[in-house]
Amino acid sequence: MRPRPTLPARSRGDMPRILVADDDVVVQSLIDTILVAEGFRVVPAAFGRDALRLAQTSPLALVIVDQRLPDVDGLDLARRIRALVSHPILMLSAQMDESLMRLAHEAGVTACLGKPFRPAQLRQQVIALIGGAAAPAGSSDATP
Amino acid sequence: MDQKTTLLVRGVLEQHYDTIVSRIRSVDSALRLLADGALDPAVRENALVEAHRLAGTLAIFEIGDAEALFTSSEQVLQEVPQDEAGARVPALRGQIQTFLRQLSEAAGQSRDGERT
Repeated sequence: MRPRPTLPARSRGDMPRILVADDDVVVQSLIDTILVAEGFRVVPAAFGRDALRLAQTSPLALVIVDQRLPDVDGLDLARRIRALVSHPILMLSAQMDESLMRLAHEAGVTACLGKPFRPAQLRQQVIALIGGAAAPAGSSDATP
Repeated sequence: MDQKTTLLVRGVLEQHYDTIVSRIRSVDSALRLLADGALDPAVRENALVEAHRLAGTLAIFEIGDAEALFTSSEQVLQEVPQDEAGARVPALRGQIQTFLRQLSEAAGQSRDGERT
């Protein structure tokens, strides 16, 4: 069995902050639970406008964006966030395919993850992205 | 999933159990209305959103084949005309009822696990 990827031990103030833009409370809760258990701090946003504001004002290590948000298309949100900041962007979608991954890459998305994902897939992807070992969007896992 | 992750994920299931069941019931209700020829466009739209969410979420709880079930529900609500729905909806609704029972059992196990 391969060892699980882990982050170095940090004090609470040093915990990497991850913005999660998803309007589904169940998904938000799942991501929060999985990532907090790994030592991350999660900043939730249910709307694109909130995510955009938080991306500008909060020190973040990563942004996770769902493709479908109530007030904005996830690709458009990723494009706007990419114009503001350089940190990695992970896009989630239940309709992940080659075409969407190409569009996501063009919008500045660093990696993609199809829904439904497994906790280990999310964990590995996030640690890879924050550790600077991100795969380009076109080569990420779209078939959980 | 390792045991720690399983417990964490089941905790989320318990926390959001009512929301999930409400979503499933809205999909089930829309399917029934479709088969009866009485599905309102707004109800269909809401059920499509819920079926899409369920298909993209429930597999993480590892209960039955939720992704296939709610992807099928989404497709039927989206594409199947009312005169054909009568043949497909009963089986789908039966699978939804089975899934609801499995979900209830899984949430119950989670509560039992917290007490022990």
